[in-house]
Amino acid sequence: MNTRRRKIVLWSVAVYDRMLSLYPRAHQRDYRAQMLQTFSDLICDTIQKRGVRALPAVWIAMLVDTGSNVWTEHVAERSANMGSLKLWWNNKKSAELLDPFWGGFFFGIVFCAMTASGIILISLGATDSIEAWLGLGLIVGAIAGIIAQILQKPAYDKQLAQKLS
Amino acid sequence: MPKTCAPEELLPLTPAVFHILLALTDCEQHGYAIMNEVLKQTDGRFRMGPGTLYGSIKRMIAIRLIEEADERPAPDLDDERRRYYRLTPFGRKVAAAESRRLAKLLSVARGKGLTRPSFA
Repeated sequence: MNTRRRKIVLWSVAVYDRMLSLYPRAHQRDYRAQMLQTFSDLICDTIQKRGVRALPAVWIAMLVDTGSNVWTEHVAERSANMGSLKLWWNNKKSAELLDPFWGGFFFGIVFCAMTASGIILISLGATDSIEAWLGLGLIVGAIAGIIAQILQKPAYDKQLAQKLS
Repeated sequence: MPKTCAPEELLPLTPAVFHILLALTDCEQHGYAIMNEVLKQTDGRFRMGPGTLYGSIKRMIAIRLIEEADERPAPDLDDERRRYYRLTPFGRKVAAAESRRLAKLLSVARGKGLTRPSFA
Protein backbone atom coordinates (compact mmCIF):
# COMPACT_ATOMS: atom_id res chain seq x y z
CA MET A 1 0.00 0.00 0.00
CA ASN A 2 1.50 3.37 -1.01
CA THR A 3 1.78 6.39 1.32
CA ARG A 4 -1.31 8.12 -0.07
CA ARG A 5 -3.47 5.04 0.41
CA ARG A 6 -2.08 4.51 3.90
CA LYS A 7 -2.96 8.12 4.75
CA ILE A 8 -6.50 7.60 3.49
CA VAL A 9 -6.85 4.47 5.65
CA LEU A 10 -5.53 6.26 8.75
CA TRP A 11 -7.76 9.25 8.12
CA SER A 12 -10.83 7.05 7.57
CA VAL A 13 -10.19 5.06 10.75
CA ALA A 14 -9.69 8.29 12.74
CA VAL A 15 -12.99 9.73 11.45
CA TYR A 16 -14.86 6.48 12.14
CA ASP A 17 -13.35 6.38 15.62
CA ARG A 18 -14.87 9.82 16.29
CA MET A 19 -18.21 8.65 14.95
CA LEU A 20 -18.17 5.75 17.40
CA SER A 21 -18.25 8.28 20.25
CA LEU A 22 -21.93 8.77 19.36
CA TYR A 23 -22.81 5.30 20.65
CA PRO A 24 -23.90 4.85 24.29
CA ARG A 25 -20.96 4.49 26.67
CA ALA A 26 -21.70 0.89 27.61
CA HIS A 27 -21.78 -0.11 23.95
CA GLN A 28 -18.52 1.74 23.33
CA ARG A 29 -16.88 0.05 26.30
CA ASP A 30 -17.78 -3.42 25.00
CA TYR A 31 -17.52 -3.03 21.22
CA ARG A 32 -15.66 0.14 20.18
CA ALA A 33 -12.28 -1.55 19.67
CA GLN A 34 -13.83 -4.41 17.69
CA MET A 35 -15.93 -2.10 15.52
CA LEU A 36 -12.86 -0.02 14.74
CA GLN A 37 -10.85 -3.13 13.89
CA THR A 38 -13.63 -4.40 11.61
CA PHE A 39 -13.94 -1.00 9.90
CA SER A 40 -10.18 -0.84 9.41
CA ASP A 41 -10.22 -4.33 7.82
CA LEU A 42 -13.07 -3.24 5.56
CA ILE A 43 -11.29 -0.07 4.37
CA CYS A 44 -7.98 -1.86 3.73
CA ASP A 45 -9.75 -4.65 1.87
CA THR A 46 -11.81 -2.23 -0.23
CA ILE A 47 -8.76 -0.19 -1.23
CA GLN A 48 -6.78 -3.31 -2.12
CA LYS A 49 -9.55 -4.95 -4.13
CA ARG A 50 -11.40 -2.01 -5.69
CA GLY A 51 -9.18 1.03 -5.19
CA VAL A 52 -9.71 4.42 -3.54
CA ARG A 53 -12.61 5.26 -5.88
CA ALA A 54 -14.74 2.64 -4.11
CA LEU A 55 -14.40 4.40 -0.75
CA PRO A 56 -17.26 6.94 -1.10
CA ALA A 57 -19.73 4.06 -1.46
CA VAL A 58 -18.29 2.41 1.66
CA TRP A 59 -18.51 5.69 3.55
CA ILE A 60 -22.12 6.27 2.55
CA ALA A 61 -22.96 2.76 3.77
CA MET A 62 -21.09 3.43 7.04
CA LEU A 63 -22.92 6.71 7.60
CA VAL A 64 -26.30 5.06 7.12
CA ASP A 65 -25.22 2.14 9.34
CA THR A 66 -23.95 4.45 12.09
CA GLY A 67 -26.92 6.82 11.90
CA SER A 68 -29.49 4.06 12.31
CA ASN A 69 -27.59 1.98 14.86
CA VAL A 70 -26.61 4.87 17.13
CA TRP A 71 -30.29 5.63 17.43
CA THR A 72 -31.21 1.96 18.02
CA GLU A 73 -28.55 1.52 20.70
CA HIS A 74 -29.57 4.68 22.56
CA VAL A 75 -33.22 3.61 22.51
CA ALA A 76 -32.28 0.09 23.67
CA GLU A 77 -30.14 1.45 26.47
CA ARG A 78 -32.87 3.80 27.63
CA SER A 79 -35.42 0.99 27.62
CA ALA A 80 -33.03 -1.18 29.64
CA ASN A 81 -32.53 1.63 32.14
CA MET A 82 -36.21 2.51 32.40
CA GLY A 83 -36.36 1.72 36.15
CA SER A 84 -33.60 4.11 37.10
CA LEU A 85 -34.82 6.58 34.50
CA LYS A 86 -38.07 7.10 36.42
CA LEU A 87 -36.10 8.20 39.46
CA TRP A 88 -33.89 10.35 37.29
CA TRP A 89 -36.91 11.96 35.65
CA ASN A 90 -37.93 13.46 39.01
CA ASN A 91 -34.86 15.60 38.94
CA LYS A 92 -35.60 18.60 36.75
CA LYS A 93 -32.02 19.28 35.70
CA SER A 94 -31.44 15.67 34.71
CA ALA A 95 -34.75 15.57 32.87
CA GLU A 96 -33.55 18.39 30.64
CA LEU A 97 -30.80 16.12 29.41
CA LEU A 98 -33.48 13.80 28.02
CA ASP A 99 -34.95 16.61 25.97
CA PRO A 100 -35.61 15.48 22.37
CA PHE A 101 -33.89 18.72 21.30
CA TRP A 102 -30.54 17.13 22.03
CA GLY A 103 -31.50 14.10 19.94
CA GLY A 104 -32.06 16.28 16.87
CA PHE A 105 -29.00 18.37 17.54
CA PHE A 106 -26.95 15.21 17.87
CA PHE A 107 -28.15 13.96 14.47
CA GLY A 108 -27.37 17.34 12.93
CA ILE A 109 -23.82 16.94 14.17
CA VAL A 110 -23.65 13.39 12.74
CA PHE A 111 -24.75 14.60 9.31
CA CYS A 112 -22.25 17.49 9.42
CA ALA A 113 -19.48 15.02 10.25
CA MET A 114 -20.61 12.79 7.38
CA THR A 115 -20.62 15.72 4.96
CA ALA A 116 -17.19 16.88 6.10
CA SER A 117 -15.80 13.39 5.53
CA GLY A 118 -17.35 13.33 2.03
CA ILE A 119 -15.80 16.69 1.19
CA ILE A 120 -12.38 15.60 2.40
CA LEU A 121 -12.65 12.43 0.29
CA ILE A 122 -13.53 14.57 -2.75
CA SER A 123 -10.58 16.85 -2.10
CA LEU A 124 -8.35 13.76 -1.95
CA GLY A 125 -9.55 12.95 -5.47
CA ALA A 126 -11.30 9.79 -4.34
CA THR A 127 -14.52 10.55 -6.14
CA ASP A 128 -16.25 12.48 -8.91
CA SER A 129 -18.89 15.16 -9.19
CA ILE A 130 -21.93 13.09 -8.12
CA GLU A 131 -20.55 12.76 -4.61
CA ALA A 132 -19.99 16.51 -4.49
CA TRP A 133 -23.72 16.99 -5.06
CA LEU A 134 -24.45 14.37 -2.46
CA GLY A 135 -22.20 16.19 0.02
CA LEU A 136 -24.02 19.44 -0.73
CA GLY A 137 -27.34 17.68 -0.12
CA LEU A 138 -26.13 16.43 3.23
CA ILE A 139 -25.00 19.92 4.26
CA VAL A 140 -28.39 21.40 3.39
CA GLY A 141 -30.12 18.51 5.19
CA ALA A 142 -27.97 18.93 8.28
CA ILE A 143 -28.53 22.71 8.47
CA ALA A 144 -32.26 22.27 7.95
CA GLY A 145 -32.37 19.59 10.67
CA ILE A 146 -30.55 21.78 13.18
CA ILE A 147 -32.75 24.81 12.42
CA ALA A 148 -35.90 22.66 12.75
CA GLN A 149 -34.74 21.37 16.11
CA ILE A 150 -33.86 24.87 17.36
CA LEU A 151 -37.32 26.12 16.30
CA GLN A 152 -38.96 23.25 18.19
CA LYS A 153 -36.99 23.83 21.37
CA PRO A 154 -39.51 26.20 23.05
CA ALA A 155 -42.33 23.69 22.43
CA TYR A 156 -40.27 20.91 23.98
CA ASP A 157 -39.46 23.13 26.96
CA LYS A 158 -43.15 23.81 27.46
CA GLN A 159 -44.03 20.10 27.29
CA LEU A 160 -41.25 19.28 29.71
CA ALA A 161 -42.37 21.94 32.18
CA GLN A 162 -45.96 20.60 32.03
CA LYS A 163 -44.71 17.06 32.60
CA LEU A 164 -42.66 18.08 35.59
CA SER A 165 -45.23 20.34 37.23
CA MET B 1 -35.50 -16.10 29.77
CA PRO B 2 -32.79 -17.43 27.43
CA LYS B 3 -32.46 -20.79 29.16
CA THR B 4 -36.16 -21.51 29.48
CA CYS B 5 -37.51 -20.06 26.25
CA ALA B 6 -38.25 -22.38 23.34
CA PRO B 7 -36.42 -21.66 20.05
CA GLU B 8 -39.75 -21.03 18.31
CA GLU B 9 -40.51 -18.15 20.66
CA LEU B 10 -37.69 -16.13 19.10
CA LEU B 11 -39.01 -16.51 15.56
CA PRO B 12 -39.07 -14.91 13.09
CA LEU B 13 -35.46 -13.78 13.31
CA THR B 14 -34.27 -10.55 11.73
CA PRO B 15 -32.25 -11.09 8.52
CA ALA B 16 -29.06 -9.87 10.25
CA VAL B 17 -29.44 -12.34 13.14
CA PHE B 18 -30.23 -15.28 10.86
CA HIS B 19 -27.29 -14.51 8.56
CA ILE B 20 -24.93 -14.26 11.53
CA LEU B 21 -26.18 -17.62 12.84
CA LEU B 22 -25.64 -19.15 9.40
CA ALA B 23 -22.15 -17.65 9.16
CA LEU B 24 -21.21 -19.22 12.49
CA THR B 25 -22.73 -22.64 11.81
CA ASP B 26 -19.52 -24.24 10.54
CA CYS B 27 -16.82 -22.54 12.58
CA GLU B 28 -16.03 -19.68 14.94
CA GLN B 29 -15.32 -16.39 13.24
CA HIS B 30 -14.39 -12.79 14.06
CA GLY B 31 -16.49 -9.77 13.09
CA TYR B 32 -14.99 -9.00 9.68
CA ALA B 33 -15.03 -12.68 8.69
CA ILE B 34 -18.74 -12.82 9.61
CA MET B 35 -19.39 -9.72 7.44
CA ASN B 36 -17.61 -11.35 4.49
CA GLU B 37 -19.36 -14.68 5.00
CA VAL B 38 -22.76 -12.95 4.98
CA LEU B 39 -21.79 -11.10 1.80
CA LYS B 40 -20.81 -14.43 0.22
CA GLN B 41 -24.03 -16.17 1.35
CA THR B 42 -26.14 -13.46 -0.24
CA ASP B 43 -24.12 -12.94 -3.44
CA GLY B 44 -23.15 -9.47 -2.24
CA ARG B 45 -26.74 -8.31 -1.68
CA PHE B 46 -26.72 -8.05 2.11
CA ARG B 47 -23.88 -5.82 3.26
CA MET B 48 -23.78 -5.38 7.03
CA GLY B 49 -21.90 -2.48 8.58
CA PRO B 50 -20.02 -2.78 11.89
CA GLY B 51 -22.90 -1.00 13.67
CA THR B 52 -25.50 -3.58 12.59
CA LEU B 53 -23.08 -6.45 13.11
CA TYR B 54 -22.03 -5.61 16.67
CA GLY B 55 -25.51 -4.43 17.67
CA SER B 56 -26.84 -7.85 16.59
CA ILE B 57 -23.94 -9.67 18.25
CA LYS B 58 -24.63 -7.85 21.51
CA ARG B 59 -28.28 -8.89 21.51
CA MET B 60 -27.44 -12.43 20.40
CA ILE B 61 -24.98 -12.83 23.27
CA ALA B 62 -27.60 -11.49 25.69
CA ILE B 63 -30.07 -14.21 24.70
CA ARG B 64 -27.27 -16.80 24.42
CA LEU B 65 -27.57 -17.54 20.71
CA ILE B 66 -23.82 -17.06 20.36
CA GLU B 67 -20.88 -16.67 22.74
CA GLU B 68 -17.35 -15.40 22.65
CA ALA B 69 -14.85 -18.17 21.95
CA ASP B 70 -12.10 -18.61 24.53
CA GLU B 71 -9.51 -19.86 22.09
CA ARG B 72 -8.37 -18.26 18.87
CA PRO B 73 -8.23 -20.59 15.85
CA ALA B 74 -4.80 -19.33 14.73
CA PRO B 75 -3.33 -17.06 17.41
CA ASP B 76 0.04 -16.74 15.68
CA LEU B 77 -1.49 -15.60 12.38
CA ASP B 78 -4.09 -13.27 13.77
CA ASP B 79 -4.48 -9.83 15.32
CA GLU B 80 -4.92 -10.32 19.06
CA ARG B 81 -7.51 -7.53 19.29
CA ARG B 82 -9.97 -9.64 17.32
CA ARG B 83 -12.60 -11.55 19.23
CA TYR B 84 -14.07 -14.76 17.88
CA TYR B 85 -17.67 -15.83 18.23
CA ARG B 86 -19.32 -19.23 18.06
CA LEU B 87 -22.80 -20.67 18.02
CA THR B 88 -24.22 -22.04 21.28
CA PRO B 89 -26.31 -25.25 21.25
CA PHE B 90 -29.37 -23.02 21.81
CA GLY B 91 -28.32 -20.81 18.86
CA ARG B 92 -28.06 -23.89 16.66
CA LYS B 93 -31.59 -24.93 17.67
CA VAL B 94 -32.92 -21.45 16.90
CA ALA B 95 -31.17 -21.43 13.50
CA ALA B 96 -32.67 -24.85 12.73
CA ALA B 97 -36.15 -23.70 13.81
CA GLU B 98 -35.90 -20.58 11.62
CA SER B 99 -34.70 -22.71 8.68
CA ARG B 100 -37.71 -25.01 9.10
CA ARG B 101 -40.03 -22.00 9.26
CA LEU B 102 -38.55 -20.57 6.05
CA ALA B 103 -38.66 -23.99 4.35
CA LYS B 104 -42.35 -24.25 5.19
CA LEU B 105 -42.97 -20.78 3.75
CA LEU B 106 -41.04 -21.70 0.64
CA SER B 107 -43.12 -24.82 0.16
CA VAL B 108 -46.28 -22.68 0.38
CA ALA B 109 -44.80 -20.32 -2.23
CA ARG B 110 -43.91 -23.33 -4.43
CA GLY B 111 -47.46 -24.64 -4.07
CA LYS B 112 -48.73 -21.33 -5.44
CA GLY B 113 -46.28 -21.50 -8.34
CA LEU B 114 -44.40 -18.42 -7.20
CA THR B 115 -40.97 -19.95 -7.62
CA ARG B 116 -41.39 -20.57 -11.36
CA PRO B 117 -38.93 -18.61 -13.52
CA SER B 118 -41.82 -16.76 -15.22
CA PHE B 119 -42.38 -14.84 -11.96
CA ALA B 120 -38.77 -13.70 -11.73
